Amino acid sequence: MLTVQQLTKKIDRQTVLDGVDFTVHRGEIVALVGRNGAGKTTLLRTMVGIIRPDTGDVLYGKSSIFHAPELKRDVIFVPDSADALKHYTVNEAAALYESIYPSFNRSTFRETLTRYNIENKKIRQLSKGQKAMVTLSLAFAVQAKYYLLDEPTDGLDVVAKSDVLKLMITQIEQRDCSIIVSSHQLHELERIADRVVMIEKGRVKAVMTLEEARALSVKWQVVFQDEVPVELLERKDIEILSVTGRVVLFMARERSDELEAFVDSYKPMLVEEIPMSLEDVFRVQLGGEANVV
Amino acid sequence: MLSKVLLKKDWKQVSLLWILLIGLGILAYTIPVFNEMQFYDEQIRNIQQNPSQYDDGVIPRDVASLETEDFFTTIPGVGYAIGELGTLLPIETVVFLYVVFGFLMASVLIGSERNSQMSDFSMSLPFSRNQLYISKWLIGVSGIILSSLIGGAAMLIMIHLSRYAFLIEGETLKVIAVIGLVILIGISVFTLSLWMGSFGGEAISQVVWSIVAFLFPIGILTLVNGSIQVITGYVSYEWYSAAMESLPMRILSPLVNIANVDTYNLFTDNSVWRDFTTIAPLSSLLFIGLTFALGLLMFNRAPQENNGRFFMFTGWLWLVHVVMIICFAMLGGIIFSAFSYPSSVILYVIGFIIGGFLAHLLARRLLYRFNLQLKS
Repeated sequence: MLTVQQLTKKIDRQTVLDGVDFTVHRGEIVALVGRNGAGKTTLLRTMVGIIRPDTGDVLYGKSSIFHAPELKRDVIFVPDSADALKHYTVNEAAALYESIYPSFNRSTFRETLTRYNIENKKIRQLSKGQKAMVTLSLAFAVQAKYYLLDEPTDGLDVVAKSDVLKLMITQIEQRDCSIIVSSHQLHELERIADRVVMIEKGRVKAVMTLEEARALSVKWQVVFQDEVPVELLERKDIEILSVTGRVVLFMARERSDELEAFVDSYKPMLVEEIPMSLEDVFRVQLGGEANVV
Repeated sequence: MLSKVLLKKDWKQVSLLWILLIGLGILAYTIPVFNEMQFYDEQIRNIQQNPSQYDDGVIPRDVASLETEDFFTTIPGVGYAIGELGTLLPIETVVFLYVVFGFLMASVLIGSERNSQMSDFSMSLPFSRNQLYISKWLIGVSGIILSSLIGGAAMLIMIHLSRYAFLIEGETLKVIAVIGLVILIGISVFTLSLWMGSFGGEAISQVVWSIVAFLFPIGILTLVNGSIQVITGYVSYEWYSAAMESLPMRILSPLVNIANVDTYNLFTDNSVWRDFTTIAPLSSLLFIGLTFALGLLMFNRAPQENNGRFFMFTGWLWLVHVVMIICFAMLGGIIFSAFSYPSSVILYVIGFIIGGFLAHLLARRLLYRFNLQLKS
């Protein structure tokens, strides 16, 4: 079990992490979502000991990874770019990983390279998609127990994204490892994540399953008899997505009896609940102009 | 504690510089010796052709028939004009090489890592920061030692096989000791610069901080001495020389330590030799121990989130700011006071204020604005 315990970090007098606290269990994929500047990358970098927290700890089992760095053989961080190894060839990088991590499985790595037709070139000479595949394949070949992935599909084309996601799912299926993935590609996370950790301004706003996340908020399409009431449009607790004549589509941060009664008081012709996507949840929970960074 | 894997990783980064250091080390130890011997030849030819221009009464009439060795033994005054074993040894050249490569290697090992994501990668590996630091230190130190071992051996062979072999006869061990001190000075400079890798958040800043730290002890002493002279009107070169030769200065500055080696008397005067074999290496070892320990401590505490900045410990910016203002104010005061003779205290004060103000503006730009710009 990987436990993030009350992590707090200030950078330039600004609180970037504020009492972040959650646990990752074996065999699950945890999606780390939040707006730009919410502290996701800082959190991942802190979880693997790159950044030292002001207070708090990251425990692998019962030991702190800050006091026992050898525990990081089982906690691998994959940054959003392959810059660190750009001067290495693919084979050199594999040799480096093999010497660092005794559990590195070269044949698994080779298989991935062959499957995605990646040649033994300098990593900087590979395409962005190939770089992502190489760094992820290197990490997964280590056979570690926890993977911290920072924006693994950022900037990739549709095919490359799909390949990366397939690779992640294969790992979970074949081995009992856990993945903590930060991404803005919410529709992709929706397909693979077991739980969502929502980060807002350095704080954990919520830790929940996708079902819980979807149930938390509500998305309604309402058809009124006359025009859409101005009182509804002016409500602060909802986000209007579209207004077309008498039809309004909106999301509310929380499902409440008061909102339901409010809508009913206008005797609408139709109230239809639209399934929430993770993107909708993100937008209604973490969105808003005040949060734009 | 030491990991072969980390040595391998660091080797990949610094191998080119390391190999270059070995090559240039061999050249730095041998080419100046060759040139110096050519110079000796020329001097001897000059004496033989124009004996009257040299010490009258000392040059024998049959100067043309003298052997090379005789010019250094039987004609003491002329030997001094030509040179001796101390001037044959290329200490300055090798130390200069070690200063340049010490800064470069350290900035590649730490500063360049901070420029790229390699630093994050290293910190995420299952190794302690102590292990990371020690590996970098060992790679650099091995280059310095090996370059001196090969270069120094080549130099010794070259001298022993030359027509000036008589200069080194019976002195080989002393020359080896000099090479040993040069190695210690090289390690000192490299260790200092590696330590500065925890202050500067990228390669160029690290080099800048290394230069500052390298010159700081001499600089501050010179500024204080200059200021005292202007303010009190008391000019004492003895105080300055005594301070420069003092043990604390020799410990704090590798440059002062090597500059205090009296190569002319080293091979003739036993007291100079005793001083050389005790104070010089001990000062270097103390310096290496101190800077290594501080480097290790700071590397562990360096805020990784400030990678890319001009100065990483943002909480200490005020201290750097104050030191910059004081140093530049004294420099301004000394420069302004030199506009009149005898030196004017009023001009010193004016220069002090102007220098301090300009330093304040520079510090604000460099330490605060530039600090943030580099990051973004």
